Amino acid sequence: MTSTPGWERCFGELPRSEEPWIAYLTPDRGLALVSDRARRGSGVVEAPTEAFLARCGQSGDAGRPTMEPDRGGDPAAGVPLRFPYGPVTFGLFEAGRIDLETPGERVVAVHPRAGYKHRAIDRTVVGRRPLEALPWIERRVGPASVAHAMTFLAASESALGHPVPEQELWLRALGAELQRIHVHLGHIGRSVEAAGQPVGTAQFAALAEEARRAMGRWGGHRWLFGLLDPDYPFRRLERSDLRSLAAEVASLRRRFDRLWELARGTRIYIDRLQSTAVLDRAIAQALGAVGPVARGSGVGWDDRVDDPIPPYDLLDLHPAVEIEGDALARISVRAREIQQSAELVEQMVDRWPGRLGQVDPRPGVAPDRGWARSESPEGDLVYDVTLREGRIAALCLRTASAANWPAFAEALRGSVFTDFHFAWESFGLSFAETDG
Amino acid sequence: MAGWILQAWRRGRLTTRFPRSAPTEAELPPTARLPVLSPLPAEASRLREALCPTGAIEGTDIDGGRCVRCARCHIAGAAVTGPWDGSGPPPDRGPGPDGEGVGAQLPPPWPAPFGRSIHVFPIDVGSCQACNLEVLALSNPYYDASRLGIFFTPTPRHADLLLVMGVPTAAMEEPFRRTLEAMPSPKAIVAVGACAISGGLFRHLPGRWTVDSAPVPVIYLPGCPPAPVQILAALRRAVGIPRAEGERP
Ligand code: SF4
Ligand code: SF4
Repeated sequence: MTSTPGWERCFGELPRSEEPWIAYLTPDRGLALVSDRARRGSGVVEAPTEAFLARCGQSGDAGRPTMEPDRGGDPAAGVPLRFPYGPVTFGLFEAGRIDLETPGERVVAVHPRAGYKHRAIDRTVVGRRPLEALPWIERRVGPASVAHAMTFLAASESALGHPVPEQELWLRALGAELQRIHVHLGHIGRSVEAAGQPVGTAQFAALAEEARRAMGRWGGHRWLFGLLDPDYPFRRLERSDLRSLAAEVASLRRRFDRLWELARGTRIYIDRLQSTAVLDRAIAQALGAVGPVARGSGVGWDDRVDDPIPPYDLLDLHPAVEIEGDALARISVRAREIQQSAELVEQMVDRWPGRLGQVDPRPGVAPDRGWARSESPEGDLVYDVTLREGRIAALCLRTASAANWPAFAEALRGSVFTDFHFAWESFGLSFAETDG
Repeated sequence: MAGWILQAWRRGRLTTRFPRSAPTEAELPPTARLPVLSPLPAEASRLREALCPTGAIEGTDIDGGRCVRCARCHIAGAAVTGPWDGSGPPPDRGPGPDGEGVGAQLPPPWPAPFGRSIHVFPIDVGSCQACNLEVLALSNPYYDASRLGIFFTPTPRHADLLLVMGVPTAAMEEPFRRTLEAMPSPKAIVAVGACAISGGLFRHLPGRWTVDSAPVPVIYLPGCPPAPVQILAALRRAVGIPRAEGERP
C-alpha cells in the first residue's frame, strides 16, 4: 500500500456512495483505487495494482496508448488468441481499442486500451476563466456536454463561493435531462440494430434525430454546446418556449413508450440481451461501477437523488433499479430513465423559477478550491476545480466512463463474441470521455 | 416484426426533401451557419479577435474551417454584431488561408465522378463523438443517405471516401495512414468538422497532424459538428454530383 502523489491535490473528501472502494483518475491520468478509508479523508490511497491496470487498460500516460505487438497465440498449446478490436472499426464508431483474448469461442480476458483520443482538455483550460473554458469542457464528450459543463461550473462556483442565479441551475438540469434522453435513445437503438431488427432500428434512430432537433430548436444547437453560458444568444427561456419544449418532449416520450413496448415484445431482441454480460451486484460494488451500469446490477445510487445539486433536490425522482445485472437490466434502466427524464422536464417547466432567486453553491474544500458531482447520462461525474485569481489553476475529474471500464471487462469475460455489441451498448462507455 | 412495420407505416414518410428543396429550419439550426460580424473600431475589433477561442476572426472575416460556433464573438457586442439567425454566409465555405497547414481552397471538383453511388468509411481520429453521431445520423429515416446512392461500408477496402472526424491526435496517425492505404484508388477525404480541418479548439495539441498531409484530395466540411444535411451536401459534391435546385452552395 503506497500513496499516490497528487491524490490529495485532486480530491478532497467525497461523500461516499455504498461502494467499498472506487477507482479515480489521478491528475497524471493514472487510475487510483481509493479505499473507503481514504475517501473519508485519512489520506491513504492504494496504488493501482498491475493486474488492475492491465484490466482496465489505463496506461500512466494516456497520450501514448499501449501498442503492444499483437500476440499470435496458440490455442492448441493453451495460449489464447488475442484479437485487437480497434482503434479503427466501424462497430465501435470511436477511436479506441479493446483486445479480446480467446481460446476459441469464449472471451477469457478483455483489455480495453484508451488514450487514442487524448486531447489534453484538462491542461488546455488551465489559465482560463471558468466561463471561458466552457467550449473545451463541453467538447470532452459531445452527447453529454451539458452534464460536463454543469458539473464543471458547479465546481467552479463552489470554489468561488458566490451565490448562483436559480434559473441558471434549472436551465442546466433541463439541458442535462434532454441529453440523457438522447444518449439513452442512442444506446437502445443501436442494441436493437445489433439484434438485426432493421425496422425497429430505423424507428429508434428517427426518435434520436427528433431529440436532436428538439434540442436544436430550443437551444440553437443540436448538441446544446454553448447553452450554459449566460450570454449565449440562442437561449429561449420564455414561458412559451419552455412550454413548447415540454410538449415536444412529451410527444417524444409517447412515441418512445410505444417503441419500447414493441421492443420488449420482440423475442429475438430480448433473448440477445438476457443473461448477456452479467455483472453481479457485489462485483459492481467492488469495481466501483456507476450510473445505469450499477443500477442495472441493483446498486441504487443516483446522484440526482442521493447527493443532488439544485434543482434536483426539489424534483420528484426514484432511481430506476434492476437486479439481474445483465444487458437487459442495463438497457431497461436506460429505458426507464428516458421516461423519468421526460417527467423531470415536465416538472421543471411547470415549476420554472423566477429570475431573482439565488442559490448558494456547495461549500468548497479549501479557499479557491471546490468540487461538484452530478449524474451524467452514464453515471456519477466528479469535477474538482482549483482557481487562482479567478482562473483555473488545476482541474481534476473522474468520469463515469473511467469508472465503468473495469466492470465492463469483468462482465464481458466468459461471453461469446457475438455478445460484444450488446454488452457495449448497455455499458455505454465512451473513449472520448475517458481520454479527455 | 409486424408491429414494427405498422408503427413505421403510422409515422409515414419522414425523409427530408433535401436536396430537392432547401433545408428547413429544423434541419439547419442557426449554429449550423457562420456568425455574422459587423465592422468595429480597430481597438474593439482586436478585442473581438482575442475573444475567439479558435483565432478564427480577422476583422469581420471568419475562417469557416476554424469556427466552432461557440458564439463568443456574438456575445462580444450584440449591438454591433450582425444578425446570427441562419442568414449568414454559407456553412460549407472552405477554410480561409491561415498559415497553419490548412489548404486555402477547396480542391478542384472531383475528376472522375464515381458513377452514381459511393461508399464511405468513417474514421475517428480524436473526436468528441458529436461528429461521429452526426455522420451516423445519415442512415436514419430523416436523411436516408442510401436514397442518394451514399452507403457506409464497414471496411476501408471497399471505400471511395474517407470521412475523418476529430482532432488528428498523434496516436491515430499510424492507424489513419494504414486505413488510407487500404482504400482503393481513386479516393478522397472529407474532413468533417472544425477539429479535422484545422484542429478547431485543439489546434495547439502537441503531435497534431493534418489530414491534407496525405496526397489525396480533401473536401472541407466546416461545423462543430456539421449538421447532417451539410454532410449530405458535401458528400454529393465530393462525387461531383451537380448541385440540385434549391441546394445552397
Ligand atoms: S469560434 Fe466562436 S468566437 Fe470564433 S468566430 Fe466562431 S463563433 Fe465566433
Ligand atoms: S468538430 Fe466539434 S463536434 Fe466535431 S469532433 Fe470536433 S469538437 Fe466535436
